[in-house]
Amino acid sequence: MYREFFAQHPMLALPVLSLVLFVAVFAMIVVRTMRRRPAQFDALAALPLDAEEVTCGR
Amino acid sequence: MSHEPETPTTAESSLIRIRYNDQLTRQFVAASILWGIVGMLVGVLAALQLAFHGANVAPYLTFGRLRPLHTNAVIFAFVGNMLFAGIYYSTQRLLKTRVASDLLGKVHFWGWQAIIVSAAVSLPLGYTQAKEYAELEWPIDIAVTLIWVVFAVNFFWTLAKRREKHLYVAIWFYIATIVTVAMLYIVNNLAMPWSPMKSYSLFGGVQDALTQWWYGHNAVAFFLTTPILGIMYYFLPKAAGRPVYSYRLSVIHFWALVFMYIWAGPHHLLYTALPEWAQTLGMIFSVMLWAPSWGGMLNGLLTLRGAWDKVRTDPVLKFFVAGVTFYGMATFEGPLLSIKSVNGLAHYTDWIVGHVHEGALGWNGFMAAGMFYWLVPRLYKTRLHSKAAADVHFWIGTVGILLYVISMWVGGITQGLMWRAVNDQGALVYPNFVETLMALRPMYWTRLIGGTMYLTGFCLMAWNLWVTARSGEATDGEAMVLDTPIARDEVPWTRVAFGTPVVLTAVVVAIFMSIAVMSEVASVTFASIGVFVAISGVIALQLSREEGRPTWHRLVEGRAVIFTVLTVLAVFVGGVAELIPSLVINRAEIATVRTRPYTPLELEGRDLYIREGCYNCHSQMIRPMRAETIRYGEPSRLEDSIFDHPFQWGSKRTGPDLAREGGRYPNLWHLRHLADPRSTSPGSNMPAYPHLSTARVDLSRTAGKLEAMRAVGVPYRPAELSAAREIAQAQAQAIAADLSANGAPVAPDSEAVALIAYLQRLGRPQGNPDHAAVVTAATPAH
Repeated sequence: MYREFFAQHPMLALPVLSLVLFVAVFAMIVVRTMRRRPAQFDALAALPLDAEEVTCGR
Repeated sequence: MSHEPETPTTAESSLIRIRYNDQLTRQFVAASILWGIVGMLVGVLAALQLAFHGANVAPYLTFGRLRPLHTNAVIFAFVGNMLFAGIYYSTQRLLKTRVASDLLGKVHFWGWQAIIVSAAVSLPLGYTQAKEYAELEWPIDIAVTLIWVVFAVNFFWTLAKRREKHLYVAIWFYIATIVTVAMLYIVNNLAMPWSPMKSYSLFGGVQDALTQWWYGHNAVAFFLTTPILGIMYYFLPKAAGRPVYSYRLSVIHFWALVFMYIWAGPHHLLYTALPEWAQTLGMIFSVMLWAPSWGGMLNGLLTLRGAWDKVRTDPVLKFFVAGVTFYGMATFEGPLLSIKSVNGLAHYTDWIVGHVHEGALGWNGFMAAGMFYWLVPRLYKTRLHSKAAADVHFWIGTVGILLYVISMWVGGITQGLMWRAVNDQGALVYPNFVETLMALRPMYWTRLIGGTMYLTGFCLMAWNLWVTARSGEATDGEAMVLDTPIARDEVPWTRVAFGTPVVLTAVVVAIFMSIAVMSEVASVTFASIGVFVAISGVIALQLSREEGRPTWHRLVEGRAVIFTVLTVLAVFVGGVAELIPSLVINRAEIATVRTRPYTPLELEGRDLYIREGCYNCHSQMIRPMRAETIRYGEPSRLEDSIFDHPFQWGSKRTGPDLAREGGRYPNLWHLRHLADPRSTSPGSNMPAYPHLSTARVDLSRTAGKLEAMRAVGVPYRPAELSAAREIAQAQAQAIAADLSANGAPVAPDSEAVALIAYLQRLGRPQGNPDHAAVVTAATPAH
């Protein structure tokens, strides 16, 4: 019986619609990101590498 | 709040010298190594117990109690401390500021260690919620939540005072970790306490199962994966001396994990009584995860383009390359195991154990080692003591992992095939479960050798880093940075929070959600409108872009609060959509038979089952497969476990499934089996529990337990609550009398009697018919 219960439950629309929405939003992000030139990210990608450090004892 | 002032230099007023708080990193590194040794040592002992049952030397140190200690120690103590070390170190540098509060950092560090100590004490004592990786009881859960909040406050405060406008992708992963772990941990640990150290899960049966594996899966995702990916995106470029191969790929990697991981939890419950739609959803998203995971792995490996020669000589890069490769292997195997047909063979077997350790030892352990070898010389302003020792660590660690994983693959596939083997007449080829266990014994010894090798390598690292630290001096990093606080007013926050993409998404969501309450014709119309609005909105967004003007996403990358809110929304919507349909149902509606709650004595017995960690080796979930129904009985139904707070479906079968254990054997068999499993099941590796026959159940607490169960929705009647003790005693005496008549006198209030009462009830949702008259007679008229 529980299978019929779940099959007819209106709340089932929630995960299905969310799934569609998630895939759509994610696809938008992929398209948008890949349309940008790699060079536009160079400064961001270099963030871990800058900040030349000196060190001192505590 | 920072104790080290950030002072402008006299030469250039726009430049200031900042000193990072690296003491926190040093402390977390030391704690991670210490707890790593403890956690892995417990793991080696647990592996020995599976190969040799005599290693279960004391009631407090049986496999059922040690296995949760091992998993919790490795996840929360070893990896937890490691990720905190990496986050504190990299965040300060990426944001060009010192951590906001040294005091909160100290509270975080010492609070986390106190939690670990309390877990190390309480789990062997049997205080457990019996939910995997969520075993810690309610007072410790509250402490975990508070300390996590302290960590979060310090992190976001640091974000607020940063001097770098844009958030590097590692910071995104840290943000996702902090907010998602908080949500998962709180929801899954909602419970009703009935004593200072014990509670019952708020959810029961299928609802608890879904919530638990939503948590369990995402604990792997957002505690063992996303923060380590953040660490990878920071430390790998550092060690290689070159930027990440593709920053664009890292952006996609992040959003893909946030959008997909949260949905994949139900793949832990395939072929169970979980509704079909939830199983399918979990499988689809798990398979989809293949792409971003491998994208991330390749991004990490390709960062070394042109620098592969360094891998030969630099132990840091060796560990990183192997760690990232193991990430790729584990994330290839994970989706593979989520495919239903593969899962049908692999689930409940040691294959899953091998898969988990591929990630834990290979990905987490090696990334930790690489980070430690890179960090410690810098934190102590010295050179690594011995590269040769680090190389030895790498090779014995790698061989150890391979021995472990391959033995578990072989063992798991062997186990799965033996369980399902049927002859021409349709009968099981290996009807005796122990026969399938004994076939694995060589694999269990091989696993023990592999695990011991890995631990030896880890200890070698601890020694190497200890000598390294002793040869230097604790040193905090310093940097000269431009004292230009991030401009907060260049773009109003409202333009970002309510930007066109957000509004467009909200409108499309509203249109699609409205379908749920419409007729078929109207919903088709609205769906079409939704698709039209979405497509035309995206086109309009593209056309309205102006050259030189930052895009909306670029703005978000610089707005920490809005970025965090959107991340929360993504994981929250995924979680809610997955959980709500199962949580809102009325449990009585889905039962096909009238299910009776456990009797007071059965409930006491169930608490003992939980205390001893029986769920670590015994499932209570018969899958709808012919080989399973021949061996165990008809497939499990939702009503079988509808009043189980917490559920006890389990995830591993070192012993047989117990879902329909009730009535399968007489009481005497159970008593003898508990006292000495080999006496009834030759070859079994189950620990012996002779002390259960002498230990007493405190029936004065029973009514309180029923009260707590009632509070979480189990329909106990007031008459049962008021007479709980008498009902329990009557049932216990009936069992004791039966045992005595068969030549095994035992006290009615012994723990063994209560546990037998529970075991005899399993698979009988309408109650144990043998005791129905006794229980009814002892219950006052309503």
